[in-house]
Formats: sequence, C-alpha cells, structure tokens
Amino acid sequence: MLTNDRGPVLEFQKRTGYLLVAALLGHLLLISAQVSSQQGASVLETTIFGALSRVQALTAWVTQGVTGAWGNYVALKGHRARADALQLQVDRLGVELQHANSQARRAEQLEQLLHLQRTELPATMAARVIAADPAAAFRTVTIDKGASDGVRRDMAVLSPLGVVGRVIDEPAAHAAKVQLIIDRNAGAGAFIDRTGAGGVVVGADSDAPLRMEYVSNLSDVAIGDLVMTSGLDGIYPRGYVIGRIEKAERGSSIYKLIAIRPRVDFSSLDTVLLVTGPQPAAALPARTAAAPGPATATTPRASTPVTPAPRQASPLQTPAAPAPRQSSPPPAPLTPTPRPSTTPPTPPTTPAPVP
Amino acid sequence: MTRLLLAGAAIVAALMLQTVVGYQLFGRVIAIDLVLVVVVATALFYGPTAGMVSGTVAGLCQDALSGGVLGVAGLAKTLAGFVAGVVATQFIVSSVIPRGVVFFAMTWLHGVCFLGLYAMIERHGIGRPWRQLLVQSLLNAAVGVLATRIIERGPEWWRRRQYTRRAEGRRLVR
Repeated sequence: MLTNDRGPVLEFQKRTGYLLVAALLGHLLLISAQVSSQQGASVLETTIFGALSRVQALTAWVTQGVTGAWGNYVALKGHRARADALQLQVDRLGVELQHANSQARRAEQLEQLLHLQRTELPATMAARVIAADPAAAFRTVTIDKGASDGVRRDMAVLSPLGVVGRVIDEPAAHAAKVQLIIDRNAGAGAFIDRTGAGGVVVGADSDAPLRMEYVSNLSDVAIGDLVMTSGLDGIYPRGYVIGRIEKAERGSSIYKLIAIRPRVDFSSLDTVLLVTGPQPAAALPARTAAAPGPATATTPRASTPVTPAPRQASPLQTPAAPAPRQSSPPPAPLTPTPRPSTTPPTPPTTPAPVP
Repeated sequence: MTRLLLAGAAIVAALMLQTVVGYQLFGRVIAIDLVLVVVVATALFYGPTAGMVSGTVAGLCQDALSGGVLGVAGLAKTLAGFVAGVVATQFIVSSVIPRGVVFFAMTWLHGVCFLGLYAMIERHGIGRPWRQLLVQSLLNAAVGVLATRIIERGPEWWRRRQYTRRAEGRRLVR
C-alpha cells in the first residue's frame, strides 16, 4: 500500500467513501433509466433547466445590454458608407422582389388552372437565442420561449437564411432547448434542388458540419448545388434551404460521400423562428402516407432516403450569401421556395428508424 | 454554510460565463471548461467531500442545460472533484506547477470518463477528440492556477494596497 509520513495515502474518512459510492451509483442509475426508456429524466431535467434558464435569460439580458450599448453608440463610426451600400442593395432587391411577385402570381394562376394544392406559409413564432450548450460535444442552444408560449417538442426552428434545428426534450415554462442541425445526432430529410435526388442530411464532426447520406452514386450531384428540406421527416417543412454542397465524391458503397456547408451561420444566431402552425399543404400527401413518428433525441436520424421528382431551380433561390448577424427585431415570416406547379406530388415512402 | 454559498455562486457564475457570455461575445462555446475549473478549485480548497458534492451539483446542472444524457457530466465531475480533493489532502499542491498538473490531470480524467460513458451509451459515441482535450486541459490548467492564485492572494494584496494608500495619505497630510 502507498504510504507517506501521515499514514496510508488513500486512507480517507469512511463517510466520504460511502458518499462517493452513493453519488456514483445514483448517477449510473440516472443514466441507465434514461438510456433504457429513451424518455429522459424529464422532471429532474426540466426542473433544473427551468430554474437555470431564468438565470441564463437574466445574464443574456445584461450581456446584450452591455454589448448593445457598445454596438449602438460607440462602434458606429464609419457606418455611413455601409448604410449607403445597403440602401443600393435594398433598391436592387426591390426590383427583384417585383419580378418575383409577378412570377408567384403567375404560378398561383397555373396552380389554380391545374387544380394543384396551394403552398402556404407555415405559422411561425419568433424567439431569441439566450445561451449555448455548456458542453462542446453537443450543438444545442437555449431559446427564451417555452411551454407557456406554446412551444412543443420536435417543433422545427428556422431562420431567415434556412433551417436551424428542432426543439428537443420537454421545454420549460419560459425556455426550450433547440438541437442545431449541425449536431452529430441531428438529421433531416432533404433533396438536392437541381436534380431532386433525395437523402438524409446529418450533422458531422468535420470541417463541413453537415453531410448528406443515402444519395446514390448514380445521382447527378455537383458542387454548389442547393440542398433543401424534403418535409418527409415530419419535422421540417418542405422547401427550406439547408445549405450548399461543398464536396461530392463517389463512395465505396452504393452511396455518394457529400459534404454540405450550411447556409445559416450558427455562431451568430440571435433570433430564430419556431414553426407553430401547419406545414405547407404541398408536402402533406407524402407525409400523411408515410406517417413517421417524431424522432427521439437519441435516434433522430429516422428517415430512409426519398427521391422526389426532379424539379427546376426556383428563380427566388439566391446564391449563398455571407451570413449576416440577424437583427434583434423579429424577422418577417419566411417565404418558402415555391414549388413548380407541374411537379407531381412526392411518392409516399415509409421512413424506417435507424438505430 | 458560507463555503456552500461560495461554491454554489461560483458554479452558477461559471455556467453563465460558459453558456451565455461566451456565446454572446465570441459566438461559440469557449474551449475552457470553467465549471470543471470551479469543481477542482473547490476540491483543492475544501477537500474531497466538497469537491465531490460540487462536482455532482455542477455536473447535473451542466447536463440539464446541455443536449446530452442527464448524469454523464455529473458522474465525470463527481469523480474529478473527489480525486482532486484526495490529491490535495495527500500532497502539497500549493505551488504553481503541482496545481497546474492537478487541473491538467483532472481535465483528462473528466474527459476520459465523459467520452467513455458516451461510447457505452451511444452507438458511435462522441469520437476521440484528443487534440481538443489537450487544448482544454492546458487552458483549464492556466485559468485554474490563475484563479486560485487570485483567490488566495487577492484579499491580502488588496489589504496591503489599502494600507499603503492610507499610509501615503497620512504622510501627505503631515
């Protein structure tokens, strides 16, 4: 036995030893309960989360006040030129918007002529991001809206630039946890906009934070192609931008190895939108037939590849712009990329959960 | 009671710095595990029982705020707090290098427990981010040594400063 001048090295009070054993056993039981039931220790976790999220909201308010005072009063020198440039950009976008509106009206008329189901905007609710995950291994954020605001588990979370993630765990009264789509346990049904090739986008611990799986080696995939949500996972509405393909290689199996650069800048999320209302009607037939259950926190990659019909690129899809920090006022509801009116409904497929 | 309040306030402050201030100012999670630094510092100052209890509380709070399984960080931090406390009672760790080694080693112990538990729980685990763990251990050691030095020597330095000022004031009056 190891000893020193004060006696055996590892001789400590018995009470401490018992306490250690009890604490370790308690933790192991807690972990086992969650892993075996897949439900999570909702009461304990929600209580601690609810209490600490209040402190987080207060800290975020103070921090934002300090940084806001600096940004709004001190750091505004030399922004005149930037404002002029942005005004020019607004003018140019106004013209583009007029063109897009006329195209949308035309598409609407064609939809009516062909008796197609209308694509509608989902109802959204703005929320502010107040904190990040304390562990670097997970990519989650805390938002300042919770169960009392109508937030529920598995609600999709979007931003004006694209898909952000989904609500995981039971939300507290005034806060909820959002799993970002770049988390290694996150997943979403997706398709490549140019060709319609379907697959599943999952988080990756690599340079490109997303990868697309289950896209056949025979599919036409090019670098720069836009990847969008297919709506077949039952969480994310169809037609929202996930990102652009950064790398596409032929895989050793039958599927390609595709790396995606997300459109949303996850390091500067400020305000996000929760999808509270019904999803676009256009995607309903496929989802109703598939009837997938909401993915659990530990097994979210619950989709098999789906192959929507080939589609034309939409005129409204703009190239990926550098992600600006989203402004503090709640942004306007998102405009989903309109589907071409001639596209037939997606064939029903049944997603099978991946263990 | 004072110890308990101090440790609790330090844990909450570390959690807020880690999750809110770090994210709001730097846009991402900072590489230092401030909560672990607080747990190890509590163990160094107050012994294994305090280290273990603070590790349990801090770990559970961290798990509740995180997207992971509740209890994993709790178990890892409990173990790290206890071992740090035992080391502090059996060896002299008051100088800079031994104290830095304790923070460094406890970060590795915590990291290995955390990754090992997730490797058992999840199919793919978190992987083996050894480089990030090395960076985190070095940063934790630096921040931990600095913080404990400030806690130990800060009040004394402040008293001396006040005394010197008062003495200078008296000299000027004369």
